[in-house]
Amino acid sequence: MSASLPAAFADLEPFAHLWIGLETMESRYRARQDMPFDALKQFYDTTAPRLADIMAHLDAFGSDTLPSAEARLYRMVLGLVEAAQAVEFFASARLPGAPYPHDVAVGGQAALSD
Amino acid sequence: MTNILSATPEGGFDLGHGMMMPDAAILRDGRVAADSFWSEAQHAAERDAIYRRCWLYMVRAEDLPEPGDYVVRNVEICGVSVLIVRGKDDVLRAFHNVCRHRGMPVADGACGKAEAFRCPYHSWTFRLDGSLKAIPNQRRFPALDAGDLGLVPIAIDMYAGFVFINLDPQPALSLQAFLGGIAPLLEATTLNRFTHRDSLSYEVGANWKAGLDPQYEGYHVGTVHALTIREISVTSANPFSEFRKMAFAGPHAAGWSQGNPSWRPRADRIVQSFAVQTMGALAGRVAGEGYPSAETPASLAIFPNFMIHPGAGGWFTQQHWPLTAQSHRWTAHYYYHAPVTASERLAIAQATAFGRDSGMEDFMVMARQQKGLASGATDSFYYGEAEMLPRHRAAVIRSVLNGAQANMRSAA
Repeated sequence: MSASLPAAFADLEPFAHLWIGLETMESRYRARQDMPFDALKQFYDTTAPRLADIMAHLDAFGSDTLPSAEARLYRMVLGLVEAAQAVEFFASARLPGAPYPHDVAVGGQAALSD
Repeated sequence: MTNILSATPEGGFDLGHGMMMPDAAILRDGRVAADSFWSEAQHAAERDAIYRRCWLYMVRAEDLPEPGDYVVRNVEICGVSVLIVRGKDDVLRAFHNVCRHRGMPVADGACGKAEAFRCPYHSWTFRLDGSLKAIPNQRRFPALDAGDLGLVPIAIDMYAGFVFINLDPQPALSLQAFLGGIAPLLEATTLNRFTHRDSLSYEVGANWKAGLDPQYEGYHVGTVHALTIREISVTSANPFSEFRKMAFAGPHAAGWSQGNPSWRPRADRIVQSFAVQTMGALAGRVAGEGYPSAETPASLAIFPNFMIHPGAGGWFTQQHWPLTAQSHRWTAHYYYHAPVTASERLAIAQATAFGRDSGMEDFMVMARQQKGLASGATDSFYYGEAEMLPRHRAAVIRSVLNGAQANMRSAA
């Protein structure tokens, strides 16, 4: 696997492919529903303790556009947000009892901009 | 003066059918007919007496800052597509999104920016003020007067930046009279200062009033949200998450929560902890600018279907739009201060995901409740005294439908 994340976070490389291709909240939410809980938990257990370091690294770029390796790292921590919903609250990838799969549209009839 | 603010739910209200009193039996007993949540007759009556008569919230004025900015909102229960556009004279106007040639929607998508609206069927073109600008090959319509063929207008008005429309061609009440005593609570909101927004929508297999109910009371929080919100809301002093205060203004209402002032995220919830801490830092960066306060109602309910709440990073608004008698569309906007850093963007993503998931906890329950009610097993259900907001709403709707039926009879 070729390196895609900043060097300081090379140890998280095995998880990068799960999230860096997912550009929207909708696609990350769907990916979370599709992943086994154990996979989400392993990702969370490895990545969440590094969150403060990751965000300190990303925040150093201020409001500038992130370089591509950092952009991928940010995309991965957006995946961590979804994994954390599963791990921190539901102990389950899917909300217990929720229809599978389901999408909550971002925008659409509620949109400011599509 | 209509729709006066009161600490009790018995006050009269006016939706444009004349002054009415909320149904006394429902207010007293909290007992509501089960078929009010599933019958086709109730659905049709609500469409005609409520959704075709009341002022309906559409959009924030700052969403349409410049001439040509437009949004399309569908009031699906009425089958109406509403086009709201800011004209070159800076005036907001609303129209039926329907070409006068053969009925095609002239504006596509949920929003955009236009110089004019060109119908995608035969290119009839309308100006931003709705007037008809051009008919291609007009000589083949020798009898038509283009001056009479502008887009059909819809009544529109604005209060405190909240843009409302009314599908009644001649609304019986002004927006101000409709809002009445609830208006100061709208005035006290500060949504315009929160310029970053996440917008969500979801179709729920439950009546629109079932969709509103969890937003109208805290009673369900300890059960439905045991994994999420419960710890934020439930305390030993307030085990059922009751409002500390309620107020009613005509058909509208508000409830103030007690909350759990000592709540902090659990330390082992690393991502939630980071997000909450970062959201606090964001508040510090903008010096607490415009945030809801202890005097902000946890639930501000503008009849029939618009809710405003304090949110994790600012404000949270939602609407429950009836589709069929047994389904509705939830639309929600989460308002935040504009993020600068990656951490702030991440905190916002966490807050919206948390809001989405706790919303889904409600949707799962109401879809199952819907099946239970529609099974016909019981002829009624109950709202307790701590559920006075939904009880009041049910009493208002009961009276409106009774009154509307009486009016139809007397007109016949």
